[in-house]
Amino acid sequence: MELKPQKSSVSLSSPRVILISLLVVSLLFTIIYAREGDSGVLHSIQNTCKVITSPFSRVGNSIDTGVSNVATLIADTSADAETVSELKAQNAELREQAALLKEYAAEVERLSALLKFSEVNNIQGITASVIGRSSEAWSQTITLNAGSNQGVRAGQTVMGPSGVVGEVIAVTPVVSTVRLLNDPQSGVAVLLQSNRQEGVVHGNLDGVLYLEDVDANVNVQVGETLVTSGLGGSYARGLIVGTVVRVDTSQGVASRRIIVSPNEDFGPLQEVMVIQSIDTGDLG
Amino acid sequence: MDEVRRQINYHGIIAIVLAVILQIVLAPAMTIGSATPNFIAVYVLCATLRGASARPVLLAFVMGLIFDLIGSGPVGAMAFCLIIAAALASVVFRNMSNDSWVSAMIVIVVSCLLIELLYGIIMLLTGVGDGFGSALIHRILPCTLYDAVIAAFAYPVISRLVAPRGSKKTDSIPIIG
Repeated sequence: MELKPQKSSVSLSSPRVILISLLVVSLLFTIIYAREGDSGVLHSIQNTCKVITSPFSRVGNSIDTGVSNVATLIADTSADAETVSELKAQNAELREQAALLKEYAAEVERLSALLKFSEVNNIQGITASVIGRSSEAWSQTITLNAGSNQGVRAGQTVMGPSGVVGEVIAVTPVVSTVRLLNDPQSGVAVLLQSNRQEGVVHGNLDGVLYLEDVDANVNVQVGETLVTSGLGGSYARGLIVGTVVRVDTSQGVASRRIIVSPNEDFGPLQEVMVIQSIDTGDLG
Repeated sequence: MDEVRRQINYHGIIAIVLAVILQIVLAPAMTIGSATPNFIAVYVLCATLRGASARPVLLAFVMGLIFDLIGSGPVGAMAFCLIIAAALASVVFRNMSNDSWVSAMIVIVVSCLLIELLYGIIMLLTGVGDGFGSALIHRILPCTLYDAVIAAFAYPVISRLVAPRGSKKTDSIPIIG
């Protein structure tokens, strides 16, 4: 009697096998990505893709800037009479301040010459343009048009015109990725400028910055200025981060929520400086 | 028939490239509050329901990987979410009594919610965010709503672009079984 070979009940090309295989592979990728360091294979491939897609990101950034400018223009042209008079009053005030500042500038120049004044903070940095932003909702990052070829390194602090913006997290030869302060994974060690107490400013999913890990006995006032402490080695020391705008003690002092307004507006960022070295002297 | 298939593949490739380019170029500029659109997920779901791909889970895997590689999140996470959503959406839609726009939208909205939920859970497990409640309010629900609105406009367009002429539902090789 001839024995007929039994057909395999599961073929390698069956939809079910393909489905399970792909699920396992994608899960494995996720686990490997989460466990490997920033210099791991998957991270490197991701960074390479950022280089490849950077021309498209530039286009997107231009569109973003254009839309913002059009929105501002529409708001400006539709300004009512009250707004116009407010602006005129502000203009007059600013002219006065500008005149005063010119006086101060002249005085500083004279004092500098007399005291042979040298800069307290000697900042060395790389200026870079923002060419892209994160394309998904769970991270707040920007892409810069400077990479390792220009001297950018992972972990360097990034500053905007008014304050700290974030930290370099990934670098390729020509572009780099910066995690902004309002990214849910960000955290910067800070000092309260008035009393030199330490804390950590974290980003959150709601887009707000929170000051945490401050001793319950420390008095935190609205208006308190926060500067980077340099602890942990991740951010350069002495750079302005933001200001305390609200202290919510409804849940008790020990679990108070301290909300921080960043000094730098992350929305319209166009140029930033990647800090390479800074000499802060003795900040007390 | 071969000519039709060639045309479908050509249109499908264009649609894939367009979805990726839109994600890179437009998505960051279209962020509203905390919600950023996911053109790639929208395309995968629409194409799956219209039977545009002979291997929807493979399409979901590839497109999900592309999403992960052009973003800053864990590589493999969106691929995982899209595979599950595409598989379930295909089965559910195939078993529905009609393939109207309303039925498709119901499936797509639920699938978008599933994708964002799964992705949110993965992000929370990898240390992003400080709780499921916050993630649900600030990311999962807003992104689901945004994707659903985009899908409402994209589905008829993708249907015409990539679906075989005369096809009504997903007639491709079954996802499961």
